Amino acid sequence: MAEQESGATAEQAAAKMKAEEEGMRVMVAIDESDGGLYALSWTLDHFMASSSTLARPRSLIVFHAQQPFQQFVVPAGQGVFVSASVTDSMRKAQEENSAHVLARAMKFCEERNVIAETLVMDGEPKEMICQAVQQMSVDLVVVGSRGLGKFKRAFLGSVSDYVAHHAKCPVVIVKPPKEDH
Amino acid sequence: MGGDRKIGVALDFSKSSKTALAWAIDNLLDKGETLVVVHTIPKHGKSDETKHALWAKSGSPLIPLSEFRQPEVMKQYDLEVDAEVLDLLDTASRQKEATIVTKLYWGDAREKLCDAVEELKLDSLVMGSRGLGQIQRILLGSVTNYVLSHAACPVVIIKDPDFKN
Repeated sequence: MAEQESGATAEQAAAKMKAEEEGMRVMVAIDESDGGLYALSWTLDHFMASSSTLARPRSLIVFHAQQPFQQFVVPAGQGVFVSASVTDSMRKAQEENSAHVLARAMKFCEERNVIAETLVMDGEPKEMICQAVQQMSVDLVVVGSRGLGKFKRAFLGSVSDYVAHHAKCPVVIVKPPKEDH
Repeated sequence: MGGDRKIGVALDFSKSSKTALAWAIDNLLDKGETLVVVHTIPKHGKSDETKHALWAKSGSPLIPLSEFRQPEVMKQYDLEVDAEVLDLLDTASRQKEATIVTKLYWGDAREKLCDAVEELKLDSLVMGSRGLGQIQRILLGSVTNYVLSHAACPVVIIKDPDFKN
């Protein structure tokens, strides 16, 4: 059967081999919530375990989207204005927050002897995650789920729902474990 | 991290679910693990009920691959398994030394898939997505959406390769 391999299948086989050498790019999207960290620990345990017998090497990207900065409008008498110093300090606080979130995530990775890249983008998390998937040629994206109720979900929009349907690669949605009642 | 996880794949024999099966075997299934193929059959009419009354509630017993590939056995369940799926499962069982079983359910796919996760204690569930448009999804209801929100384990969504945004 090997001799009868057409050009197309030989190409496919070559592409597969190349993909295997390059390894699988896994991206975990985290936010400040515990759900995000749980998704990361799930990924680390199930995908990045060094004792895995699967041939394909895996690389991990930890992704964090910084929410678009909401301008705070301060009404003051007849006019409204945004004080520059307020904007600056808000931005600083946001950056510190992101740094803190990523630091926690990197610690998780270190504890499990996994080397990961980090990536931070500015914008709506759900859109940024999908963009990052394309830009970084991600093979698998893992998203935590906040477990919003039905109505909150419809109203606020769910990041995990959006990513599940729009990302151009396989998506894993990891829900935090149910608490025992 | 053990090599004894149970990976579920929701199979309705559609293209996207076969893509999902192939992906799960290539990327998720580790050596010696168990692959559980979950297939739901919508309940039709009275004629089915008497025949399948035995399994209607709890689903079929776990069918090992050796039986699953025999058309005579699957005829009992009124199911024809296509060659592509069998091929994928065969390869998986050989290369990954994986245990492969199938469980059939009768009823609504949404609920049964979530039931399967709990009953079989699946560590994750892989499913395809047909890439319905936004409105279609709301009107027709989406199995993927429901399972995403209700399954008790991580869910992996694999898109149809022809998926257009």
